[in-house]
Amino acid sequence: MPSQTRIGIIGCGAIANAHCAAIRQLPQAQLVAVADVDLARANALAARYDVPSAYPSAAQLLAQEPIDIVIIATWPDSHAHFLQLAADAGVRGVLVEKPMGRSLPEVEAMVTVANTADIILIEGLMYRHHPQIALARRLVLDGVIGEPVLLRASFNGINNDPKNWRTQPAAGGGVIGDRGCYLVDSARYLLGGEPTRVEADVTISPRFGVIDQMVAILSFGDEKRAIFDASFLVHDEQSLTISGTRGRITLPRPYIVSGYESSVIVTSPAAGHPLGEGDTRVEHLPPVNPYALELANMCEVLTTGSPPLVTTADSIAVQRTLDAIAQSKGSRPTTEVMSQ
Amino acid sequence: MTANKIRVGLIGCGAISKRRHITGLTLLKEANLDNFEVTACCDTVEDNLSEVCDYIRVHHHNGPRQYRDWQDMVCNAPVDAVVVSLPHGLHHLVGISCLNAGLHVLMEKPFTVTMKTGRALVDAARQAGRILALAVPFRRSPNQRAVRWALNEGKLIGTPRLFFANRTQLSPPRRAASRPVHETWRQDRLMGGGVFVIDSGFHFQDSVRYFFGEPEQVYAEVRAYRDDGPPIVRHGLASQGENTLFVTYSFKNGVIGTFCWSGAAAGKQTHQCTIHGSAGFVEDVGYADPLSIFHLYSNGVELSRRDGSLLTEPDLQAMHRQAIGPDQVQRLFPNGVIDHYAIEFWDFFDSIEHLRRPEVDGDDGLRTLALVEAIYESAWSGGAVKIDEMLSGAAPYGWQAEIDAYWDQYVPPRLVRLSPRSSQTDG
Repeated sequence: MPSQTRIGIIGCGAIANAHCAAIRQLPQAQLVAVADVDLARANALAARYDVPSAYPSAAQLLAQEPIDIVIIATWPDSHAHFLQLAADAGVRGVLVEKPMGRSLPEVEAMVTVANTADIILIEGLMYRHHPQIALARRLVLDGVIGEPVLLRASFNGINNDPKNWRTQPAAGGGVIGDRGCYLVDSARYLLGGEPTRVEADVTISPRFGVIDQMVAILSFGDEKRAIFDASFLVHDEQSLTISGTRGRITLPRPYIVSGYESSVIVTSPAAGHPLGEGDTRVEHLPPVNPYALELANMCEVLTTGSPPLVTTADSIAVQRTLDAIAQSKGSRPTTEVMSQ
Repeated sequence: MTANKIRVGLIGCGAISKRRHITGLTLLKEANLDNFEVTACCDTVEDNLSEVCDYIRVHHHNGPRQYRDWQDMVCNAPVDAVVVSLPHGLHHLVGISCLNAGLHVLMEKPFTVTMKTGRALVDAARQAGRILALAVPFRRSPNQRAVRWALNEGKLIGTPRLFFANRTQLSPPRRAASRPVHETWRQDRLMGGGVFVIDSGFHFQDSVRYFFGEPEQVYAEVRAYRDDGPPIVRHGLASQGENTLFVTYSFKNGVIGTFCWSGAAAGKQTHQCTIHGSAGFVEDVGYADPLSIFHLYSNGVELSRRDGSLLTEPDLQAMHRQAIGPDQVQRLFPNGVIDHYAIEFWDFFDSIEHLRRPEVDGDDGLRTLALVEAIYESAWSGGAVKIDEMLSGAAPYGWQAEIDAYWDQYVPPRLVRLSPRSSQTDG
């Protein structure tokens, strides 16, 4: 058996637990150390998942543990810093939680750091590793719904915890980085191509000062459009429908499936029945752990040199669009609706 | 390798086995609920058999023995328990033989094709002293667990009053002639026991019993609409499977409801699954999935109350978990597993290990089957049918009598297992 890939985690918050559980499922990987500025929290995580070592800083972990992959699971404002530390320490792969950075210049600089140090850098867009996304993309490419035209997606959930990074502007919080990255990436991946124009409306939380709601229309040229909403103000809701000239595909749980089965639903018009919405077929996929598949992809890239499923070009393109969404408020002509 | 583990044989490696049984079993192993090994698999379709065995070899690191003849497997395989995933008409024959041979049985839904064959299966389990469990996975899903709690102990919608479950769509006609028999048996009433009511509909019937308790009676209109002639009704349904059904229920707790499904309704697809109480209602929000009327809440649930509050899926699940406490959470979702197929297997294995009653045993299976058959007999006879009379044998018995007449020709073979405890796996 080839030796296991050695993994370290920086940041021991909620998402680190998901990575710890995922690594357990991978015979090719071993979690050797975790680090957090709150050592008690690092120790607790290490105890929970039988991790050999816990450190009070990333620098100590990187200095003392020969590791292959670092998972950066800290707040977004520190991602670039820890990437640089990991590069200096000579790791081979960095999985950085989403959003990779807080702006296009920051993400581009991080990609340059990774390229210079010859590091495989992958952003944690974990939803993409779920087989339902690959299936939906294959169905679109196979022409099952004709030409794809409209993609509509929602990803909402209340977030009003002042201690969470999502509500802190300085930490890189806000709904665009937290949820918009999934929405934008899924539109690019399923519609194909890059958005050429963005129209968006965002609201800023009076309490927290972060963008807490976004509604966006992305143009992918010709008549292809993606329509999104993401909000911290309304209850949990997620959906994705991609409609084409000959049918549509619906994913009821496009972004977070957790331990559930997932459904890929294809509806096509019935031949000879002009009234009918026609035939609906559904593919139920068994539960998988997308975090484990994400790490497995990283291990495979390091072992075989194959391209990662989520590339740094994806991260740059997504961040470019996210920046455009954030900046589009007030920058375009609007028509006020006059009261009578 | 398999010392002290329950040795499991899979009889039938078709769609449900390939897609969900083997993946559910893997989820158990990943969650350290590893008290079993799949040691034998059986199918007459070579591709299915090799696909399932290859999967087990890779994901469970164990090579199951391969059988093409289920009787050969029961006699010779190193197994303690079997999972029967066969065409419905074979359930009682294979199940009774396995129980008589001393094996525990997890039976796929819909249990059996008639009440007579169902009773024979229950009797065999009792006489053999072996566990007979029924595979009804969807009641084990987090959302159905939470909804049952919300309706009963949680009282989140006040007193439950009524439910609507309907789905209409236009399904293309089935082209059965050119396909092999293992893909077309569901259209054969003798082998399938019926079409939608007993097949996917069995899940719905189990769920309403799970939510509301025992039903009092049903009245059903069932049709087979055709494009080339008048609709087929009543006894004519014997020759062509139903594609439209309207069922009205009353339950002993006072709840009434309707379950309507049609694959012959041109126009807009409709979907509604709601439960209404005195103080709120529960809605299936996974309307895009045509199967969610059968697999209730598998794509999402919301609960709204008259006071204006809304509980989304995570809210409702969190409230449920908090209310029942960690011990019950562990029983319902062992080691955090929430996949309903995995939990169904865990319950079966745990009942074998601890010699306890499985959550859904043969008697329970027979009760859901009684509801299914009451729907068919109501459609067959034209009147309402009482469920207790279906259970006692006093109800109309026409639809099923014709199915029994066919299966009466076959007797479950008496099989003797060779050295049942001494075998070792190939793994």
